[in-house]
Amino acid sequence: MSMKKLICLLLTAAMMFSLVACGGNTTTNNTAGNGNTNNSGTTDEGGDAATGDTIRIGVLTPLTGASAQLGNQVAEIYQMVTDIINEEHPELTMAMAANAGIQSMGGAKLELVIADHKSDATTAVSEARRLISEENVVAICGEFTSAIAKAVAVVTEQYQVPLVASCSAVSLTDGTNNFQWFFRYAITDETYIKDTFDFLNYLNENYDAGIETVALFSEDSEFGANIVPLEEKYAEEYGYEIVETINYSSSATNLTSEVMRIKEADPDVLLMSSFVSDALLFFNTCKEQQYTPNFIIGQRGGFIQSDYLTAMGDENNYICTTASWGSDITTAVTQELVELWANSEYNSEKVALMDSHVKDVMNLLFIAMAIEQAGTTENTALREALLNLEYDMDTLMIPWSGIEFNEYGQNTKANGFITQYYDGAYRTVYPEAGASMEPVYPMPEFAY
Amino acid sequence: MLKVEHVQTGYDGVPVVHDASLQVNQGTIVALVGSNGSGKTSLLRAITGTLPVMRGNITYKGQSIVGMKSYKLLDMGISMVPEGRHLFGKMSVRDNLMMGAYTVRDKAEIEKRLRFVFQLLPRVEERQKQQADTLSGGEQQMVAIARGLMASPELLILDEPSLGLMPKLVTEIFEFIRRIKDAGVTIIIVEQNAMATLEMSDYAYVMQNGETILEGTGQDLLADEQVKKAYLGG
Amino acid sequence: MTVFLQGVYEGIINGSILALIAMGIALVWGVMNILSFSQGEFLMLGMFVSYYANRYLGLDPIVAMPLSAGALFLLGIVIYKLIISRALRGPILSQRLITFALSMVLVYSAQMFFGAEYKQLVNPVIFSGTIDLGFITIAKQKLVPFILALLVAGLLFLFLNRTRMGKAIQATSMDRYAAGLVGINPDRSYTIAFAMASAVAGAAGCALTYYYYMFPNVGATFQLWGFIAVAMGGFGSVTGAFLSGLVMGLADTLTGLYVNTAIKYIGVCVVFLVTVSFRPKGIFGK
Repeated sequence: MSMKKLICLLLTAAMMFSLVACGGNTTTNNTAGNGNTNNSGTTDEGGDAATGDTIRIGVLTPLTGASAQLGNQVAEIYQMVTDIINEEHPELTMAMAANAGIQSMGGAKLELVIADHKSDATTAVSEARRLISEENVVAICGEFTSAIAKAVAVVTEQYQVPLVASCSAVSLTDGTNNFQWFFRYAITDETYIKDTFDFLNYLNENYDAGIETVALFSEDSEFGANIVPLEEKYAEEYGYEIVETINYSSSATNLTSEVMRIKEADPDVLLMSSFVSDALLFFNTCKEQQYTPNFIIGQRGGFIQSDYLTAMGDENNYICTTASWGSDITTAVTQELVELWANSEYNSEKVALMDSHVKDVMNLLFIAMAIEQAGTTENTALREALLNLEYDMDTLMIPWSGIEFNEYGQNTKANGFITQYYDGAYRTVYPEAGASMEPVYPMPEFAY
Repeated sequence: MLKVEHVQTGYDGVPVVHDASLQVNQGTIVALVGSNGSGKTSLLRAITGTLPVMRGNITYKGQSIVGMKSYKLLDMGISMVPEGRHLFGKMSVRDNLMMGAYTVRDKAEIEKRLRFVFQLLPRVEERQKQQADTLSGGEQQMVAIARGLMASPELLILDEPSLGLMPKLVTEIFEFIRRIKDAGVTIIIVEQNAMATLEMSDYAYVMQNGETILEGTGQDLLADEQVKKAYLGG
Repeated sequence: MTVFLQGVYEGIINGSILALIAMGIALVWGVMNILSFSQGEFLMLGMFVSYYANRYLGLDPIVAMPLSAGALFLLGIVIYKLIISRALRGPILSQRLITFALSMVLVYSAQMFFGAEYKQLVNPVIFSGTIDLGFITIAKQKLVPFILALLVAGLLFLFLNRTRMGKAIQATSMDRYAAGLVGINPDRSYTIAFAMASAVAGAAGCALTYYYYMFPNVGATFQLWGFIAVAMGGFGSVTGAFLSGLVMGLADTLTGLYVNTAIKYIGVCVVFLVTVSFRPKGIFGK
């Protein structure tokens, strides 16, 4: 075979692999993910979203790359919930379950169009464009980090299509970008951080913890970078001394000097904003250096992902994270979702329900509720409905104090929780009212 | 010993040698002279298998050696010292010589050959520990020839050994070549420097435009009018 | 003082993986003038060999190391014969690009076969725990890559300079034509060099699994630093690559420790730039 032909063959092979493994694999909820089929009356292609029998909702989620585990799980649970919405389930408590489809639009059914953003902003942008202009979706939701959401929000703003996301960066709704088509029902980093420091006060007041110093350990992309200034702000306000600030690259080949510095600084509490891989590397390195942080509060990220929890196992005991939800919340609608997901055929890895899943599910419900309320999929009407959503908190899985939007698309009445991992699950330890366990301070040593 | 019969060879299908024939008898020095571009080196490359033989035949001791790989040729007793020396520059002189006997496993045999080569070319022995590319041009040429000898060949092919050397050195090199012949090695020498070569050779061929146009003993050709005009300056 | 010593020790250890990758790149570059963009992927494959050997056979990575090295050696031979040898007969640009295309194919194949999520070793291993020497703490699993790097550097040096095959490979790299004339099979030399480089990467991958997580793209970061180490050590010099890898590890850790962790890679780059501005061909460059 001549040289040129061989090069062409190899490059073609590489491109073919990339097409298969990455972008361009839109799936409707007939055949998504792992070959589960369902027959809830969805059509394959065609049928304009505004007219016709199905309403298409765009779902952007990381099916490959970092966070692929979570991304796939979100795609799966979305399909489960879509089925519930599309079918009659008067026995269920959750919103939109009772009737089949969107009543105000003649029972029109929802159809998910799932796309892989690969945790890459460029891919997310092109996929969002494609969902809107080719697949004619009426709204976009899914699983995003703040960086991806920011990129996609520019597209949805341009096309004036609602984007409902739960990622926590404050800058998405603080007026810096003034997105008119971005909606966040869930809490922001600011609330999480305020909750974190409130928790430190709580430990000092009620458990004599004597916490005075904190150290910040933050990865250097959008996720961590947004959190650091908030931590600094609240540390100063609440009177805690920051003894070390570590910014690191989540793809670092080693975290040795980072751990050595924290060990030297010996903070009472370590605040971590990390993803799965760097968190795991961090803990490995800590053990190598024979160092156990006194107490750790993570900011979700890797701490709540199933591959992290599988790898850590019991070593994760007593590590805390902020959370927007806890599986130990005892409301009927919450436990119902826990059950449904545990027994769902869509749940291919049989993972337990986690707060990332729940937040994302709520966004899908809100879109469905807004369409029901507006009686149309026309975008300005949809936007109106989303901003002034009528709701019954008993039918929603996160017991916030309410839903009330400010001018930038943020629900100001959302609140968060602090959870501490123990014996296989994160348990709510703060606020006291919702707590299922008393917090344990400090953390016991790692086994070296 | 070596017979080249009406050989045509070239690069990428384009012939640069159209019709070349020569014969080398054992124990002689045979010269192949001609100006730049006459096809001398290409013919050598055809003999040693680097270039394809498009027409004609090449036999060694009656056996066809067309297209034979270099290590097979070495086994048969044919060794080539290429144009431009091609030493292993960063290696020592001694290591270069050892490489010359690469196909030999027997350490004693290698030592024997080394001693033979050193005896023939004492300057090489002097410089054996030096890095090859730090030697002068003439010394490098001697090392290249020495390396070719390490294969203990019956037929040694020298491609332009005097290229780029001062006249004094050329004489020295040719003196060594004579000594090698005296030691029993048959030699083919390809050269632009016609005079000195013809003086030394037992038999010679003249190549022009890819063809062997003239042949005769060294002395005959030295006296030949055509040769004198073209290559010896009248 | 103990912090500094620990930092120096850790830096050398961290640099060992870089050194291993860099030695492979240097070997391939020095011998056949090809930039091997796929060394990182060979590292990744070595990691997955270690992972699956651990998960399904309960093997410790150090036991899986000869397995991994052997498997990658064979893979290297196959890749050389099928792909690289043909590229060498083609234009220079193809030679440079061919390993790049190869690396993409390997990454995406790994994604398809192994999945994209992060994995760590599942079953327990021999080398865990630490040795406390008082002035420094030595993590046992971190010793493995360092000792491996030393072994590989030493063995490669001995092989290239003291064995017949090794000298043949060096000769081929100096003058391919002359090597052919003295009876060396240049293609065989290249095959062995390429296969050895990929075996080194495979073994390095095993060593890495003790403490680093694996996923299909893991090779990319290490590869990049490997290249810089080779450039710093002198393209073609295996010893230079080894030393540079260690130096870069030191720069990484000491910058992070004493300056700022956010710019530790800038520290490494500064060391690189300073070195090549004084010696543009690298420390041992030819």
